[in-house]
Amino acid sequence: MRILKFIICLTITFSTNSFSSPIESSKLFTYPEAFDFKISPDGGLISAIKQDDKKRELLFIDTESNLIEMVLNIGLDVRLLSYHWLNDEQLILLAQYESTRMYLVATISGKKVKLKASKASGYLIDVLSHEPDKILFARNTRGQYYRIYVVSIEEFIDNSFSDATEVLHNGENISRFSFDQRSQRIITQTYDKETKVLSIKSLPISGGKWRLLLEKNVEDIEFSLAAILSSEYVTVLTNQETDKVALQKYNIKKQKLEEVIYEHPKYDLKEASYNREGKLLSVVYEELGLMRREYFNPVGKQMGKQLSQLFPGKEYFLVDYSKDFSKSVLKVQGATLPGDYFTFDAKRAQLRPLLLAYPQLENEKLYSSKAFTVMTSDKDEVEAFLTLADNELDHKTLLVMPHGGPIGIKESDRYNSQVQYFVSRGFSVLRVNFRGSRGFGKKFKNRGVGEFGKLIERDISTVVEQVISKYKFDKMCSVGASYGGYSSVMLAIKHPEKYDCVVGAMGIYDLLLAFNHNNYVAQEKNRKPIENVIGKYDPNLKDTSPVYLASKLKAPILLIAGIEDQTAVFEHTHRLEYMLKKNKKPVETMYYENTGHGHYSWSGDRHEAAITYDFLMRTLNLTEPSPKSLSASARKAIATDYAIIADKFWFEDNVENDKDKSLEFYRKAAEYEEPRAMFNVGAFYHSGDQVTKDISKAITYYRKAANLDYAKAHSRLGRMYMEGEHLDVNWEKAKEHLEKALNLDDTPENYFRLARFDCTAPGKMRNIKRCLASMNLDRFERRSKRQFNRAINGLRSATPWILSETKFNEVQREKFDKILNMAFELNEMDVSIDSKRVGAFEFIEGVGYGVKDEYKTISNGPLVKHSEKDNYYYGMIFEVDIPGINSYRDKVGIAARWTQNMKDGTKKYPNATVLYGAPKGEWKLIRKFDDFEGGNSVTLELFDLKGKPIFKETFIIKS
Amino acid sequence: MQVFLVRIFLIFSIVLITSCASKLKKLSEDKDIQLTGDSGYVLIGIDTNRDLYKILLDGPRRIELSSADLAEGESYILSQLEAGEYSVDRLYVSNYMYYKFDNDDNFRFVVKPGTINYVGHLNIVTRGFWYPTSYLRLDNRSSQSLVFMEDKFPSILRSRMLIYGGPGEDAFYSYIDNGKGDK
Repeated sequence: MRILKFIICLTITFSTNSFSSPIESSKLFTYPEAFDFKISPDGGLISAIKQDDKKRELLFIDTESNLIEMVLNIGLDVRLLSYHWLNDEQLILLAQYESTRMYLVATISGKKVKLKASKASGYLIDVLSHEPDKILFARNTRGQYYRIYVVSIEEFIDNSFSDATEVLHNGENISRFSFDQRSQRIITQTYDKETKVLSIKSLPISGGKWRLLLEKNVEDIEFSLAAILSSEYVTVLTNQETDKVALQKYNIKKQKLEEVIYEHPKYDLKEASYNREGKLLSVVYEELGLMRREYFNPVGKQMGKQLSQLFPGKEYFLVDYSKDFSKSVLKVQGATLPGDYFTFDAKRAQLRPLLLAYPQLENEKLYSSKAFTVMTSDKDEVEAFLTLADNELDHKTLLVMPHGGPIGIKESDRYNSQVQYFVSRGFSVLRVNFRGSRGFGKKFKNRGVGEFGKLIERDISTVVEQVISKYKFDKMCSVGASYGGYSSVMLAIKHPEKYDCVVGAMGIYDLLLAFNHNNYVAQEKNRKPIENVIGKYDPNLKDTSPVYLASKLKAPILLIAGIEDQTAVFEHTHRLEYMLKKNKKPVETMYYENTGHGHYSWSGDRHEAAITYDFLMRTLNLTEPSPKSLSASARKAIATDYAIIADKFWFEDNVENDKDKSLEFYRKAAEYEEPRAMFNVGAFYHSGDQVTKDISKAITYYRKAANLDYAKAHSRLGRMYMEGEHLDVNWEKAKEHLEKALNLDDTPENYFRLARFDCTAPGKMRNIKRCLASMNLDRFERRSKRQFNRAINGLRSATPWILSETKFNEVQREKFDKILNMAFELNEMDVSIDSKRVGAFEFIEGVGYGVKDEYKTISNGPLVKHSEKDNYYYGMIFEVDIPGINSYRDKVGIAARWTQNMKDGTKKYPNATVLYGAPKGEWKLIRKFDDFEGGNSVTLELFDLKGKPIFKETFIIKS
Repeated sequence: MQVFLVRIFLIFSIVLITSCASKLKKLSEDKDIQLTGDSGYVLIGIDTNRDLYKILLDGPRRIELSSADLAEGESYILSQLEAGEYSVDRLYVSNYMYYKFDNDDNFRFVVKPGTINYVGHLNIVTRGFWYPTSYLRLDNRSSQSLVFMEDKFPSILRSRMLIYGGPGEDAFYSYIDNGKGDK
């Protein structure tokens, strides 16, 4: 068979090296790097979006050479929401910048891609593959009203619809349309939430009247359109008359279901495919956690057989195909493969690897699951997935992970970042599709309703019993989120002898509260959605609520919650914490502010995984792997976990700060040679926070981090050598460190620190040309808005130094002015100050409606008394004075530098910045007393942006 | 589960029609007072992302929560209040713009005499400047309110029974009070 050629290509793909080690969480909990693959109608080019921290691009890959032919740089500020091939040379892109959405047409010419924006408002319904120069577009006319047009691409770009064919004049209340290629009909689907009626209508693209295809009350059933077969029949996927979601014929005229075309004995159908002639090609269902496609034509059957042999234990599907089906993009995925894309050339029967969705995992060992079924005592079959930690870190510990929901959710055997995280750290994971899970029919799903703490946990325990009878585990914990959080606690309450610890995240723990947690859900009319899951409201639900069973929990527990959670409201977790403490049970908590029923960013998932890992290791008294026994990437993985925990305890984010814990975890991370953690431990010694100030230790940690190529450590050491802070001024060493920092990480901060060096270094070391080049803001504007803003901050820090110590020639000065103007959009540089208050101030926060904040003067003049109070400051509050410029639209700037005059005659420079904005109201240059480190005095200098000194005062701080 | 947006009526008004409402006097001292005849303690939680002007409650008396008690953040008001059924009537985002509450949305609570009545947390999220939109809920945060009382008013808590008077039913306080949690 020609198809055997596939194997040669694939052997190469899967023969990569794998290391058995903890996988760094940032590699697991993240978006795919490559996604949204499409192929041009002629099959010549494959396109895909590729993104990482520094860039977002649309790639074009030649299907003959398999090489990247062109790259369209989208930039990090723009999101590409969707895109489609219009014809062999053009694509339509829907992009979003901030809150503005816009359609763009990309035209390929030679090896270049040119973009043209369209001002048309509305949305693309279809690219009309039979008319390559036209699209079907729903044009927004008045609010929610749309007109549907077949419009040429040129007219669409020009937003000129006068010559376009109007298919529908008034879309009225219909908000979304789609297009069925096979029947050449526009489809609209509406669902009335009040009556629960689903209504699907169609309209020929050639015009005419809407025709009702089906109208049905779909309350509590599955019902979706599969295909339009003729003017008399459609097919639907439904379980109205069957236990499983089946493919069934639907008579349009009679509005009635007719014969069942296909029903799987065990699984709900997910999809059915037809050819252009309306012949059924295949159906799709999920078996043991993976999608299975059953073909009905010989070609499909043969192809399916071959692909199943090539990709055992994985699922595969065609992502897109050329117009003649000769070339297509195939995606393959499974537990150990988060997504691998291939080009499939049907004529040559050739399959070639394209791109990996997660290339960062290519060299990591991912763990496969054992998928199996277990018979319950009442003769139902439940599926389960066991992922064993068969690696050198194996802690002989089983984590039982119940899924959320519990109704209508299911576990799969696809790549699961959480499972891979824990298994790669030595924990085995068991997941169960208990009754209530979806995909196994109506009865199976409904059997789980109202079975909180009863049948569901019995199902899980039945599987656990089977697993522990076959495999040896020393310890066992239950870990879950949402319903999984509830279930984890209930499992440990019901089987105290079996579970050694519990982690419950964002769970519901008082089933009665679920009916009463706010004024809306407490109303009878709003109870149905809750009853569909928990069952009827009944005071006896107390008997299956962890809050009221807290005294029975023996295992130590970690409770995790989002304070803004509106699904499992925070009160559930707080109640359980209260009751556990009241019962003197060991409980730890991690509460996330500004977080709902799940994290808004991957950093939250990484942190949650890290604190769970730390809890498991401590609670189960497991031996941490010694840094020396681990590979570099494994060390980094463990170190990063601890550094992530430390960060949240330190930075002003969504976790309550605990600086002692922060230092503790940075130290742990530093033990695993994490350079950023080493740098931060050094910073603790530098500032004297949480430890006795020790500059020598600080510098030692900075040097260790620098030796491990941590750019910020080089930058810090470079600045200290430049300013003579705790180190003798050494411009050569400063240069070496600052250049290394930039080489390692070309951040705006590193560019501007080197710029400051180049503009202010003595003698021949001064390099004004490179200084000005480093400050080129265009470089950062091209990268992203965020990078540009960081560059402005870098410029603000460098400017006071440059203004006070650099003599530019006229050309250089002009270039520098241009940079300042680009950053600060200045109207005037010649600025003086007025109405100044110099002295000490107390900040009084305005509390309540209409009460403003105030800085009250405590003492006038540069002689100020030291204060421990957090709201006391010293410095200057003033107004800026520029004759003729005094509106909110104007912008001016002032450079300021603080210098601390130390007792030993040295100087420290706690802050240098540029203040800029409208010359209205008060400007402040003030500092807290706790920044003052017992020097002799502190000097404040101000310059206008031409470099002219405009103010200088030395503050004497009395104790 | 759902996220709820309250149905509200946004009305512009410069007419002061609230002059008859009496301001709710917030207790600051942890000393059980002699409750007059038919009155009880009311404990209201406020959680707002913006300073608010005032809130009016309807009931046996018309009550005003003033701006001093409606600062941005989470806070509590413990006060003495005539027993009876109350409803939240109006929320003044500023002194010239208010929302009228829809009674169908169950912004109601009950104060029983002689007891401490936790009636819920008024959770108010306001977005926008010129035409602000507010999302409102009366949340049940009983255990958090209990911790507040234990921390700030332990003496009153010891002297009086704490009950839930907010929307719906809640067995939590009575469970705690029966001492079952201590077992």
